[in-house]
Formats: sequence, structure tokens, C-alpha cells
Amino acid sequence: MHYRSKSFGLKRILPVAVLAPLALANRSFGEQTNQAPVVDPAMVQKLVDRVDRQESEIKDLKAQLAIKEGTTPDAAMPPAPTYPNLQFHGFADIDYQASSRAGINNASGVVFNPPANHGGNSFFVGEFDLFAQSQLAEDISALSEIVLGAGATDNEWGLDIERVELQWHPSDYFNVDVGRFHTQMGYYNTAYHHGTWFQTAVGRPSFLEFEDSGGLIPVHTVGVSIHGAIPSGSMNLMYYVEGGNGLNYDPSRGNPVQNVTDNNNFKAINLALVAKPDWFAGGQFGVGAYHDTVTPIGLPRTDEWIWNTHIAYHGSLWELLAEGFLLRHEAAGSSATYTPMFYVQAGRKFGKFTPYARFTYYNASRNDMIYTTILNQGGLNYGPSVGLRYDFSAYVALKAQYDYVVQSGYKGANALTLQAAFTF
Amino acid sequence: MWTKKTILVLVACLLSCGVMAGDTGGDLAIIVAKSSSLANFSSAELSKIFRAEKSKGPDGVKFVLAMRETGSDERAAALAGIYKMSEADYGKYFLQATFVGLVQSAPRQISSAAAMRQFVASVPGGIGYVRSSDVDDSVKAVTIDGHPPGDPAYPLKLKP
Repeated sequence: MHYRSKSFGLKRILPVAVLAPLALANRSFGEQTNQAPVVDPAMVQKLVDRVDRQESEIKDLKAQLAIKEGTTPDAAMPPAPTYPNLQFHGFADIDYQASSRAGINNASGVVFNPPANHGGNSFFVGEFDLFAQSQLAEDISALSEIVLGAGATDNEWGLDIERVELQWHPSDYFNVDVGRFHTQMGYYNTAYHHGTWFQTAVGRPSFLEFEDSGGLIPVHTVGVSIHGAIPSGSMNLMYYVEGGNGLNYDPSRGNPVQNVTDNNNFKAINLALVAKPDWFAGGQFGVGAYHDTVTPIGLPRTDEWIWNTHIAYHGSLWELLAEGFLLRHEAAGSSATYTPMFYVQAGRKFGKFTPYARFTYYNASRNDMIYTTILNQGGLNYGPSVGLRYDFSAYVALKAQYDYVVQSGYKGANALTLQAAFTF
Repeated sequence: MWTKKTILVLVACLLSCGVMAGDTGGDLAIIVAKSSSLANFSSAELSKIFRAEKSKGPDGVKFVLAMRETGSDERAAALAGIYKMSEADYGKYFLQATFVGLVQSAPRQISSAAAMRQFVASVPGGIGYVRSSDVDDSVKAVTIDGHPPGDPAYPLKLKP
């Protein structure tokens, strides 16, 4: 019915639409017969737009007819949901890094953990990230992220199950995830993780590196996460309550994340509150607190607190990120030590180009035995980074980043990293 | 059938009248099922729904989002007016939303107004958009910030 009425209308209107303006314009044509025709590009564009719209109408009418007559499959109607419904994405990056001091060659740009105070340059394959998500029922899904990466010292590939989660999302206000997940701590850790293509920069701020790559905070948790929206009007508050195994600081282990066995009966608790107010479109800010009691090998039992705050903004042109962390360790029988950490990052899009800059700082207390004797990360570490991201295609980004790092006990170091990051 | 000749005649017609009509492009109407209790969204709420940050309506029914095909005027208006994103940013946003577990996939893509109406009318929780002139009795256009399509203060405009 809809098709017929519109078609009839057009057939009737078309001759009138053609003839009436011609009649109206007769005088003008007569006056301009001796003049060269003038073409107004804006007018031509309007006409092209109009033709486009009319083509769209024709397409619509054809679609109506097809639906009405049943001559084509009903494209609009989704098939009945079938479970499981698996989706797969891959992420990878290929890099080249030259630095005045040897570093860990991974996708983090510059993570100086030098075995020797000399320079080096290498091509390297960053993380090869296999991400899969599957809907198991309307409110239940599973997510996994398997990452293959080569070690800097042995050049051998290793496989990590970075995430495996079972998610139950019955409402916007109450959701439960269990498994190994990204700790909801600050912004960068959950917004960007293993998929370097997502990140504007070539890598993470140094202190937010992964636990086995020189990072200072527990970016993964094995346990349970409960999260959701808080009815809060235009403030759009979100809460996160997480509990898990925490870290095991053991110098004999490369990775302190406890996937299978917790080395003590204490559990890490992480709380976070995030606001995405209506008046801050594209932005968010939040606060969080993390507590665990850790039992580092060879050291006294230690009370661990991490407080954090962040603000992030992604507009159509600007990207602004800032996060601060304060870590407190208090070993039994000792006074508390504090490690402040922060970074600020800004980038602005110019078409496919995004120049950006970041400043990263942390000062791991030299009185903190966990950092000085186990993680070998004690002391001051700070420096600027500047870079350029070029979105070569929709799913390929080319990046170049220069870093300068000041680290206690070493001369200042320079590094240049080139990266091709992509998703597939 | 619309032949090349017909279109050329139409172009000539439009050239002769100099696009004096001052076409504004019209409004982009947000449509839901006629039986839906939804009647109005704030601009912020609409943005949250289409960004998949708000997944269910007050009746507990999960929103099922639909977008027009890439390159259509309606999609361009939705990206500019609702998402405030470019096409590339939209793709990246939903890939990242999938990555962080916020959504299973990007909104369904539909290639005509008729199909969009049928989708919205027949899928529980279906929500999409059409030109305001394409709204018919099978669906309901909701108001945005209290303004119906056609109101000068209505916020979602198609590019002229």
C-alpha cells in the first residue's frame, strides 16, 4: 500500500514538477540566450544531494515492495538468536626500537630495565592478541583473550591467557564477571590493555605496564567483579566492587599474578567509582581504592594500599588523559612507604594524524623492600614522550614515538619507537 | 521505472528553478514500536542508548539498536547528532566496547527506511531512525528533549 501510494504520487507530480519551473523560468531563459551558461558549484552540489535523496527514496520504495511481495528475504528481521554466538578479533603490532640503553622489547615503547647500561636497536613483534567473545544466553557471555608474546631475553614465544571471564549482565545496575580480568583501577588499564591499536601512544605509561613487564600495580585480578550503574541522574555514576587473589611478590617467579593458587588466605579488594556526567560529554572521572595483605617471599607480611584517581576526555578532536596513583606498603614491624605515580597525556586529531605528548612519573620508595629487592624498580623514574599516530586505514595505525627517561642510578636515556599496530 | 532520462529531466527541472525551495534536509526521527511505552528521550539519554551504555528501557526490555548503512544521509545525521563521532571513530568505539565487554557487537545495519520501520515495529526493544517524512503508522517517533520532529528546536537534523 505504501509503495503504491507513493509511486502514484510521484507519477502525477513529476510532469508538473518538470513543466512548472520551466514555465516560470521562461523569461529568464529568454534574457540569457546570448550569455554563456554560469554553473554554480554549490547549486550543482545541492542538485546532486537531491538526486541522492531521490535515489534513496527509490531504494526505499523497492525495499517496501520487496517486503510486501516477499520477493527477497526479510533483511530487517534478525534471525532468532542462537547460542553460543562467537565473535573473534585479533590485534597485533610490529615495532622497531632504537634506544641509548637496552630495554625490554615489547609494545610498551620504553620500559628500561637494563641488564647493562648500553644502547641497542631491534625490530620486534609486539603482542599477538587473540580476542574472542561469545554470547551464551541473552544475559550471559564469555570472553577470552589469549596473547602470544616473545620474551626479550630468550626471544622465545610464550602464551598467556590474559583474560578469561564469564559475565552475567542481568541489568544495567548489577553485573557479575568471574575469572581473570583487568582490574578496574584508573582509566588506562581497562580502556586500553593488550590491543595496542586502540591506544594513541605506542604503549602504556611505564608504571601501568603488565605485572611481568615492570609494572607497579596489579593490572590483572583473578576473582570476581561486581559492577553497574548507580541511579544518579545526570551524574551517571558507576560502581565496581572486585575481589581476588592479589599478587605474589616472589623473585623466583616472572609473573606475580596468582592464577591458580593464592599464597595466602588474604584477598585483594578493589573499589572504584566512576562518573560520566551529562555535562562532560565524552569525558569521565573517577576514584578508587585497592587493598591487599601480601606475603612477599623472604620479606615480612605487608599491608598494601593503592589509591587512584583519573580524568579522561575523548572528544571529536582532543584526547586528554590524566591519572594519579599512590601506593602504600607497610611491612610488619616497619614504617609505611609511599610510591606516587602519575601520567598526563594529550593528543589532538588533524584528520588522520594525531600528534600526542605524555609525561610519566613515578618514584618507587627506596625503603620499599618489595620494589628494591624483588621488582628491582626502586627510585625515581620520569620523562616526557612525544609521538605521532597516523591512521593509515580504518584498522591500521602507524606510530612514531620519542621517549626520554630519567631513572635513578642511570644516565638519561633516549628511545625512538616505530610501530605498525592493526586489528583483524 | 526511473531511467537516466527521467533523472536528467528532473535535474534540468531543478536547475531551472534554482533550488528555490530552500530544502532544509528535514529531521531525523527516532522511532520505536508503536506499542512501546517510550515517548521521550533526553539528548544525553539517547546518546547513552546508542552508545550501548544504557542497555534496557524502563520496562526492562533490552534495546536492540539499528543503524542505516554506511554512506546514507540518515547515518551521517545519527553519527553527527547522536554519537558526535566520525565514521572511523564509530567503528573504533564499538570495537573497543566489544573489547571491554560492554557490547557483543555494533548495532545492526539496515539499508532502507522501509526495512528500518519493519525492524523497529517487529523486534522487541527495537530502536532506530528514519527521516521524519518516512515515519508512518507502523512505528512511533519519540520526542527528544520534549521536542517532536518538525519542531524548530528538535535537535536531530539531516544535512541540507
